[in-house]
Amino acid sequence: MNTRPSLKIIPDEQQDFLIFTIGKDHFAVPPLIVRDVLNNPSPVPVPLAPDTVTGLISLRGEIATAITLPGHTGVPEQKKSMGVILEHNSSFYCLMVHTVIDIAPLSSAQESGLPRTLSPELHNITAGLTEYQGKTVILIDTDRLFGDIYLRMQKKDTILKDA
Amino acid sequence: MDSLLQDFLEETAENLNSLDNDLVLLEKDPQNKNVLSRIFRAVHTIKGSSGFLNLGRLEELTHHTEHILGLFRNGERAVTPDYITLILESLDRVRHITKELETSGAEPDGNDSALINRMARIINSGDIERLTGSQENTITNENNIPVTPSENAPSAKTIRIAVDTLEKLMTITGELVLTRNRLLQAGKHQEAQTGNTALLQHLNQLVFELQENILSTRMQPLGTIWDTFPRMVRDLGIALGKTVNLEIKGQDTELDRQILELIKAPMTHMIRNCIDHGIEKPAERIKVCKKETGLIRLNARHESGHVIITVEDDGKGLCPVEIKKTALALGLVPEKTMAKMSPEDIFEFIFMPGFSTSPETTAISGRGVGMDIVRKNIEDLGGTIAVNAVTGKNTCFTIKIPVTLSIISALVVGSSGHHFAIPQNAVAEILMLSDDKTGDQYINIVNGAAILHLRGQLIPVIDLWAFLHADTKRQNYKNKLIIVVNLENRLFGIAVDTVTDTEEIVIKPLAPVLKDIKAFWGCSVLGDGRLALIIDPSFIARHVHPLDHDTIKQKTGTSREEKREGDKSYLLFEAGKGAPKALDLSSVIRLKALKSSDIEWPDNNMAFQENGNIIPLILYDDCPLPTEGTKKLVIITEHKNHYKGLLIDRIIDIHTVHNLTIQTGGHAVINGKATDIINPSCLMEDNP
Repeated sequence: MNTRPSLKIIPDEQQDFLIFTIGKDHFAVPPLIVRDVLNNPSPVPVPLAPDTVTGLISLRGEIATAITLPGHTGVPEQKKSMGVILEHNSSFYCLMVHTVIDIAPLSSAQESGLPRTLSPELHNITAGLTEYQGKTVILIDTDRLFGDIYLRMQKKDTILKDA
Repeated sequence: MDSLLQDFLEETAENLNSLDNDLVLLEKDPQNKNVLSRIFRAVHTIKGSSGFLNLGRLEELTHHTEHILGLFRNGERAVTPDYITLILESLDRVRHITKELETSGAEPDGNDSALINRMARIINSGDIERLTGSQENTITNENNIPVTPSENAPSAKTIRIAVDTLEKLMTITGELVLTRNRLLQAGKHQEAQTGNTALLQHLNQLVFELQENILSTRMQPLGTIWDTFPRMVRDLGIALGKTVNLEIKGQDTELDRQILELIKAPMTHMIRNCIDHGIEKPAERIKVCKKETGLIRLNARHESGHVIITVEDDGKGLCPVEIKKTALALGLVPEKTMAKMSPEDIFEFIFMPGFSTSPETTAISGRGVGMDIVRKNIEDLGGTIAVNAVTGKNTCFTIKIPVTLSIISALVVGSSGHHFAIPQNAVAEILMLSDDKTGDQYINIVNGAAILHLRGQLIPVIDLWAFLHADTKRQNYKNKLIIVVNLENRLFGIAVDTVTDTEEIVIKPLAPVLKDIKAFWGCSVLGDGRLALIIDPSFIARHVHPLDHDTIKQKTGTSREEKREGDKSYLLFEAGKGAPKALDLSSVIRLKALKSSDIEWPDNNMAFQENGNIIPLILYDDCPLPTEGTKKLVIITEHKNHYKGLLIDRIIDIHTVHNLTIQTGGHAVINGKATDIINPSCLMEDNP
């Protein structure tokens, strides 16, 4: 399996994005790392995992790790959900969202333009802001999203981890 | 044929083929240093291997060929087609000889002097004779060499395959196994209607065979890692002034490539230990009537899906006294506990981090870093290691490891509605406990820790779901099944809600972000398509077993600080009227509630039964007998292997006092109250 690099967002240049919603918020990821979109995935929980990891999903024999955006851990409790399958370093992840809306070209604002009012958790994983049909869209930096899960794992209580 | 020779022939055939191509390339592009050094390396390899295998003709031919190539490399001669022809001719001769080698197993008789002379001549003179057709013929006739290279290549019984290809095949087979499992599950429900049972059975059989064969492609003999040991043993022996023989048996035993790589380091470490700590110096050996030369035995064999490896030396063995001393000095367990430990338990200490009885640290070992890592490495593979020793005679380590890590047989269990898989080889038995505690199997919860009483044994138990959430409050043992796991005599129980099935499962690793969760080996897709996390039993063992690395150190670390010299703990209780009484806690085995019906009167003496033993009971004069249908507490005490039960009214407390002064008449002030101190040895006499 080849790893494809996740696309860095280039300012002032139109590029395709996969747009989805979580609650009322709109988010987007570069579609090149998206492998699939699932309807109503039901992850099997992994005890001891960080809270943004909601579980594991079987994906045609492969195992995908289901994750949520930090600060949106309530997503799997919603009745209707979708899973965006992302590939990162040869592993599959399933990002839990509410609805996938579109794949559309978006132009992105730079990171420095991020408002400070954005929650710090989201600020960490945001590459930039843009707009889509009159809505503000948060562009996710997927590298930092996975880095964030990793950090959460490190910070987690080490009682049940071996020295 | 010798496997070394076989390997050599295959390797040489490959080298010869690439040499042909490279020489042609070099002829076209004489300045190409890369090609030249590639040729040089290949010829050098053949020369080296043939020298090693004592193949004189090949060695001499390649030696001269190498020499000419050396002249090219140093720039002393320019590459010309004539030289290339000569080299190719020499290589054809090599090819011819290897062909003979393959059929007869030995170098054919014959003479290469004409060819070698010509090579030697040009090396010395710098001239190359014009090779005429007639000369070529004479050379060809010298040994009746057939010259078409392709026909001469040894026919390969094996081929080399990239490891990646094998891994991919393995993955696909894994998928096939999963699909078969799902089909079988579906088949169970539809059997009656479809009549496909025979087909399913056939598929099942085929997949099973495919799986076995694919697994065998990953297998390599243990010899591939053991081959380096004789040399290591010799060198270490010399460095330490010891003479050691290494005896290897079972090096043909095959193991998964992946496991093989992972056990190399621990095995190397153990052999170093044998030489450094185990085997004595020759003078010492002679003193104790042993042969001057020490012996290390390596043995491997298959046993029910596992490979058992033993590493044994006939050195000084392990000394329980020294181990005890060191363990006490390190404060690993209290002296009291130590006294009750069996030699096997005491030997277990050598697997503790930082444990070494060796007074000096050598360059090779003795720092106490080692056996704990060895155990951890082996447990990470799902294996176990145990040690046995006779002081002064031998030490024997037994390693048990699974043959493969890719597919395992597992028990599928349910806990709080989720599926988990427990490796089958660790499971000793499955129990269903009745609610009342009448039988000889029941669970007690002591200070948040659950203990299973099983046929007189006490086994720690965890509730799987509560354990995985590090929440002892959630544990619940009502209507649970207890999976008793045995990891090299470390027993513990896992309480689950349901046991579904045993299945051959394919282990899939967890995502990198989750690999720090050591509780799981990975996960797997079950027959019905659901996911199950695979529990690593050694992880639970490390957390529940009292005699284990990390936990015990922490525990004793703190209690040692609190406990000073001269401290003694007493169990304070009330029995009858009068002052409270105290009993040295070290003589107390346990407490038990006795029903009045449990008390029996053999020979008119009060007693009760426990695990088939009759334990006499003592009742203080002014303490009332339990009335019909009530319960009474009994303290079970032990003194020099005699047991007695002391009927009491109430437990007050456990109190630790420093340098208690016992006054005449056996009284002392504990907790501000005059207390009767009971002498345990007096209890054993007939009247207290």
